[in-house]
Amino acid sequence: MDLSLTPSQILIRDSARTFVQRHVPRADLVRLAQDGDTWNPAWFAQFREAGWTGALVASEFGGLDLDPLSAALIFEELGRGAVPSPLIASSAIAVGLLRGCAPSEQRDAALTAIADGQMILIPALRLPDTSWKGVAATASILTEANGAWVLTGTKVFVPFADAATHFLVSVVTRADMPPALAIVPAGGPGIKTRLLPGFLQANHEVVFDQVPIAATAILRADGPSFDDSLAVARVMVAAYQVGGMSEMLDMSVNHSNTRVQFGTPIGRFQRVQDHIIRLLNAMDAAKWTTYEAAWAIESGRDGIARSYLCASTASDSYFEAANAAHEVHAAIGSDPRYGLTLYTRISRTMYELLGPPGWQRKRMADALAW
Amino acid sequence: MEFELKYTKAQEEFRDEVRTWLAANVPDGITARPRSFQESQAIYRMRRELGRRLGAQGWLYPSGEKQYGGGGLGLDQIIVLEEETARLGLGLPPYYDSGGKMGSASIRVWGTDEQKQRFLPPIYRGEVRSWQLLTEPTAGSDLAGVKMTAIRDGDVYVFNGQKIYIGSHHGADRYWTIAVTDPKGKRHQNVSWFMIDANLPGITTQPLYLLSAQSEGETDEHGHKNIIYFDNVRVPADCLVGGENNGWKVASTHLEVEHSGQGNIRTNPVWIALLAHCRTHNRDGRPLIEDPDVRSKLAEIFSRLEAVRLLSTRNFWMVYAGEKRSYQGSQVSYLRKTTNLWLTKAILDLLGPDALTNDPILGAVGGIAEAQQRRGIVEQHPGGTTDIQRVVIARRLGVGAREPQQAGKLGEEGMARKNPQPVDA
Repeated sequence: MDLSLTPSQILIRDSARTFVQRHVPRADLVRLAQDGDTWNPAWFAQFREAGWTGALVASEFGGLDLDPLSAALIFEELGRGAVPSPLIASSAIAVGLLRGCAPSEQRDAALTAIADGQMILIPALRLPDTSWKGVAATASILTEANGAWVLTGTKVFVPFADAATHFLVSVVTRADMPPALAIVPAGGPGIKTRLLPGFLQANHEVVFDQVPIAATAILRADGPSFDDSLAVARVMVAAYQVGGMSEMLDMSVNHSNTRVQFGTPIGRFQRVQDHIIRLLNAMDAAKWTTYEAAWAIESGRDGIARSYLCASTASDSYFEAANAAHEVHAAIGSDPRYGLTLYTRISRTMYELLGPPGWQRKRMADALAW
Repeated sequence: MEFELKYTKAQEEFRDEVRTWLAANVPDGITARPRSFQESQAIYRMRRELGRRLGAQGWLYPSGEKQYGGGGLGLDQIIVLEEETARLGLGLPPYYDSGGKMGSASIRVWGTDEQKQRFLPPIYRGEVRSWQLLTEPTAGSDLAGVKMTAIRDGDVYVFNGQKIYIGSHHGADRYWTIAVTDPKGKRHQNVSWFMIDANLPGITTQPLYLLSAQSEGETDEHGHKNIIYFDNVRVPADCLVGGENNGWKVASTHLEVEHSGQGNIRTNPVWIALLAHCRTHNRDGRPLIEDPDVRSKLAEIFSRLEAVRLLSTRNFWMVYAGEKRSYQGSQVSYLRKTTNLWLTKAILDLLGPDALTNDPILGAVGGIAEAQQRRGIVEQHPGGTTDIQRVVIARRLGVGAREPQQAGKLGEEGMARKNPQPVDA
């Protein structure tokens, strides 16, 4: 048993932490949000330079092929900084989905292009007015016209659709066929994206209207479930959430020691302490289920079940941690200029990113063969 | 990271030795649930006898120094010993010995050489069973508020007062206790610790029956706690440990051990029994495990218990690796207590009123569910309430303070040995 990080993992974590500290000050994030921008391409260029776009891509496709924990440490630091970017969507979730596809020239080309930063592949999965029952249940039915496939339909809550060079759309060619994924260029005719307003970060509606889909762009599943192939991606999402909670903990401890009411720092009040402890417990539960899931995947244990466990725990925990942080900060925390709401908004946005916690737990039970 | 223990060849050889020894020395029925007080007493005697045999091997307190009768073993061997005894449903010691555990840890830090020589060997060899006596009717969480006095009179201290929620049944040989040695002194500067003979004249014991009693490691329907009265009890002055009126410093060691569970890597046994029950029992004409509502509730229970297990594993590793700890011990204690209380309702939701009876026919999970309903409540207070644990966590985080509070002083038994000593034949 050894729960310490290896020297190379510490190096990776520190390099991600240094990037955030140097290049993504919170004031810039507040300004970005106030200006209505969703991400900063200049940051993404640096991710590409560091190789993070290919963190989970096999070396044969030009990726770093990092073990899950090493990659998770990058996402944890980005989450600590609340750095908004399409990196999770493209380099974790889309890569996970592609790993669940049968080998093909198109799949391999997409992995290569993601790794070198040329392609930002954004999964477009969710259907309107449909509850989440896994990736396969989100498939849009393609129609056939003049011997070619055509996509018409709407996908909702698509993260960072404005950053996409391509979409990875869940489709099915016939109702009785197994679901597949189609790689669709984002800038083509018939595609419209709309930023969804409200208390969520960089989520879009994407409307496809008579968009032709080349047969070669349709990738078939290589296993029983696209959801199971997202095991590593779930760990990356959870790690990003853990990072956010860590920062909220630091902000809350600091605030409780500097904010004076009734002539004393509010941290002297046990009810304030209780909020911080609630936050700490939520964060540690998420952190250690996430680290264990990374280890379980890497070591060939029940990694799929563990990934569902960490996903549900991290989503529940981030929501709870954000609530606790707001109880510590009171009105100050509700001012978007302060910065806490950057994290709160992410805690809500990511809550159901890969399915609601209850669904994740159901899949965990199935994976454990109860 | 590596979340599983990997065993060396030396450890596996040691495991063989331990397993063979236990097979020859652990009597049948030692973990049976007693049906009468007589049976409870007979089981207790078995456990004490096993303790003496383990003590002769140096395995009762395996981390204790050899010169005082301990095993002098490193964590590599201790892990194997604990796993093998746990496999048989036993702990180390195999009986309730709170005064032995916390008292010996404190004496190793604060006792004189002569006191270590006098007090530690009988504990380590299993010759005595010791209880801690801390709580009083008006001093529970506020340990510094104890009222029992120990006033110096020549070569003795004269004790007057009472302690409550103490020990188990079947008695003890020694008491590890805290008392006021300077009634006019300032708070925190007026208390001292003593390791005293439990059979001194003037000590009387009255049973105290609570909602549930864990006697010697098991739930025992016949078990109880005690109120212990001291009426002009004359205790030799050389039983004072750590210096007169220096008790609050000694308390920092005692409380560090008591509050900071060392962590473990075991799966909650209630969970194992619960899942097995749902696999093997039917409701509405189908196995419980096939009911979507049951699966959903089980998944919720498993998720919460797994988080606690992993944090406990983290603590285990921190001890194993000699990592400096701050809030982690109290965090796991807090989460265990609150999760077990939450679990009472979760199991009731899952199993219905079957969880409330230990009726041999109707009682769910062989009575384990009913016992958990009571234990989940009673276990809120021992070793510090959930509120006290939160106070400790906040202090260790540095909330409302200039600096984070440091952990209490521990002896070698609280630290890992990175270079375990070889196991002697």
